Amino acid sequence: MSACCTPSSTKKNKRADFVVALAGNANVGKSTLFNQLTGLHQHVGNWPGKTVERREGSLVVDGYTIDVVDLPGIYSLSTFSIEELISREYIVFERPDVVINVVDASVLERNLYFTLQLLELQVPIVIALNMVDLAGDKGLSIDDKKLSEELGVPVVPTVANKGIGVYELIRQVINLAQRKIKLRPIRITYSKDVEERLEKLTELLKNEDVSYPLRFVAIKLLEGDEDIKRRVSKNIVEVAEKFAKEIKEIRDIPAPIVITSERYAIVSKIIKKSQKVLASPKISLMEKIDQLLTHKVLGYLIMVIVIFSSFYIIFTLGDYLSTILLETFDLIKPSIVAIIGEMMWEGFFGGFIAGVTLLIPFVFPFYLLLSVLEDTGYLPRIAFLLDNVMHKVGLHGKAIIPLIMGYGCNVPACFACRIMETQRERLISAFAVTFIPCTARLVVIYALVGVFVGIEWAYLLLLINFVVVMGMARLAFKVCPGESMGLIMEVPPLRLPALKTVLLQTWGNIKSIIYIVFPVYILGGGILATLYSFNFLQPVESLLTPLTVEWLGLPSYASIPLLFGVVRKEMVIIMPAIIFGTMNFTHLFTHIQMITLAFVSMYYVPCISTFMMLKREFGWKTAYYITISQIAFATFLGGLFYRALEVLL
Amino acid sequence: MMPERCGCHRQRHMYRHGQRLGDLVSLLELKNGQEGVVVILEGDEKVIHRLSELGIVPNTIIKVINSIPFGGPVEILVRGSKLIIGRDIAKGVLVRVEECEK
Ligand SMILES: Nc1nc2c(ncn2[C@@H]2O[C@H](COP(=O)(O)OP(=O)(O)OP(=O)(O)O)[C@@H](O)[C@H]2O)c(=O)[nH]1
Ligand SMILES: [Mg+2]
Repeated sequence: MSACCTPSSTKKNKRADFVVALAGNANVGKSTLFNQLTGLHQHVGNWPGKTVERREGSLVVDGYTIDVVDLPGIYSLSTFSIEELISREYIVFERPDVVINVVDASVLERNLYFTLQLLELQVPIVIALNMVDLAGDKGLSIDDKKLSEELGVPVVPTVANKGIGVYELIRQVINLAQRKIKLRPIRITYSKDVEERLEKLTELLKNEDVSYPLRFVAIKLLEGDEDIKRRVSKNIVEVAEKFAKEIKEIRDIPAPIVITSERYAIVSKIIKKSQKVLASPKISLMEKIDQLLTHKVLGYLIMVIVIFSSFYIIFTLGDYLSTILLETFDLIKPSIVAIIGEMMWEGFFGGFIAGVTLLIPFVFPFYLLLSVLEDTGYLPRIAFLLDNVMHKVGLHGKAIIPLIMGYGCNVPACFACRIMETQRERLISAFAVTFIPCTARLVVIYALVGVFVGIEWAYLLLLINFVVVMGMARLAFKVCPGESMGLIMEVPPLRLPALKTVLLQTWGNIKSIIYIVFPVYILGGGILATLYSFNFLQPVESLLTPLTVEWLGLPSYASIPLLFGVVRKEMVIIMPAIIFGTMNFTHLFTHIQMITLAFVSMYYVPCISTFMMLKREFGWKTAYYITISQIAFATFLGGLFYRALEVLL
Repeated sequence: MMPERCGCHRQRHMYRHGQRLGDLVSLLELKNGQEGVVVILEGDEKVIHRLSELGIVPNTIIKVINSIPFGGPVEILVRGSKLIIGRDIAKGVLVRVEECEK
């Protein structure tokens, strides 16, 4: 995932026999099912809001080629969030042949609320009654036949992460796509106050050109849906607004709430008929642990320990792996040099080896730990604990999730800012994310400061960074106009991480480094070595001298690595390693220079991939603003930092 | 379920259109383990709509299970699922208290 979030293609696979979309609430196992069906590595984990963009894959089963589309998880077909709009528009405008509505059997009520809306949208659906294992643990027994009868659509019980029921589900999908089974979806009837007005609105809508079913449009108009309002003529919107007002007067509750309550009332009836509570849930061990993790005092203590020990593990394990790898390369070096010659080894493999021995040892433990944290469901607990802290900087608890992901790679982290509800919050959190040191920058800190100055300095830099991130977010909050919403988030049950999911997730995260980043090292290293040997870089170095030497107190040859760092941040140390053929940086920098260089590389500019992601999410202008403010911040503070170090050390 | 009154919480009298709605408290005033029945949702239109879509509609039973002091959020159990809700939002969820802490 790191440097290359592949944007999903929008084209339909021409050869596919039919297209199936996965839709449902967040964190119900859509992507797990998608991965089972397609063999791809969509991001899965135990917190709501991982999939923020649609993703396509395909499978061949029983001689049919089926295109599968994974959609972001949503709670409603309203259009509050980007995810909801993406999913709704996909379903309506791309018209998949079948929608698999994945529902979480352990929280059936809220899930069926969404199902009712899919039925109102009049799309052919099959229900995957997922997580029946969890429902069982909770003492719930769901009669899938009864549920199917009540809703009038096929229901297939599944356990997506174990592959249970998946084949049967696909059989039903094929049957439906081929019209071998007919749906008899229930009609969702509201109270008289609402129905009368819906009928009138539907009548008025007859002459309108909307792609949605008319009744659905009428309902959404009463619910005040902004997107739908834009799609119909003004006089109808006025009528709808008048009707909504009338409903509010009759019922003393705003019309949208009247509608949601009535949907929930219908759901409750269905639940009563199809779900039995076998045993009252007893407080499990996991729940007791959960209480500790979210305790108002102990929770924070545990959180600090978890975060600190994570960095400790990453640094120590990274150091260990790095040493082993270096020794291995030193061992095989003579035999390879004998074949290709010293020049080639330094030029082309210098970068590669520096990369392999530095990046992988740190990236691997990081993603392993992140996957464990994700799969246990600890992230929403952190969001809970830090909500008030994040409020201080104009965000709320959820924003901590992209920030944590940012320590891996800023690119997917900026993308993950979509879990924030408003544009403003997305922007503030993405801005803050770009100040978080990703693994590439952690490697720079480690290899310069951790190894040669002392690991406590590395931790100090990270601590300072935390203050910087908060300060910058606060600044953005002050300058950036717009609205903010508070925290509303579902908390999935805590559980032990599954080894298979964790390993798959880790592999999914680091494979792009192996495929894409290493070739870049080899190429970049080769080019750099050539340029350097012909003295082409001299003018650049002298041009930047006032900045690097005068203001930041660095040696003049630090400018080239910093320039290369724009491509990938770890280049800041890999480049000197190539040019000078050594990773022993004591000959190149003083301790103060090492700390300053690490400090500057943490902030000075977003790497190209991050820049492109910012451009994609917020446009050119914002991407430039963020870049400029980083350059300004890093140079200004870097100089001050250097001077402070001069005094202190 | 008969609503049971008990004097273990601060009560607020609510009136609407001159009519007394009963003794309502916001979610924030419930202690951990205490339950309440939603009566009124106050606050930003969009936020209320979002809450209602997650199942927090009038007449729903909500149980507070955890909360963080100093402006922190509350954790609630509603319709079998756990939600965390920021303090500013929770303030607008007015409930009638169902029973005392166990
Ligand atoms: N116990 C159990 N866990 C499951 C099942 N299906 C999926 N999971 C787990 O549930 C979590 C959420 O799964 P995802 O596939 O990421 O859910 P999603 O619906 O794609 O979530 P979003 O993309 O965030 O909307 C993961 O940790 C899965 O391993 C199941 O049937 N039983
Ligand atoms: Mg997903």
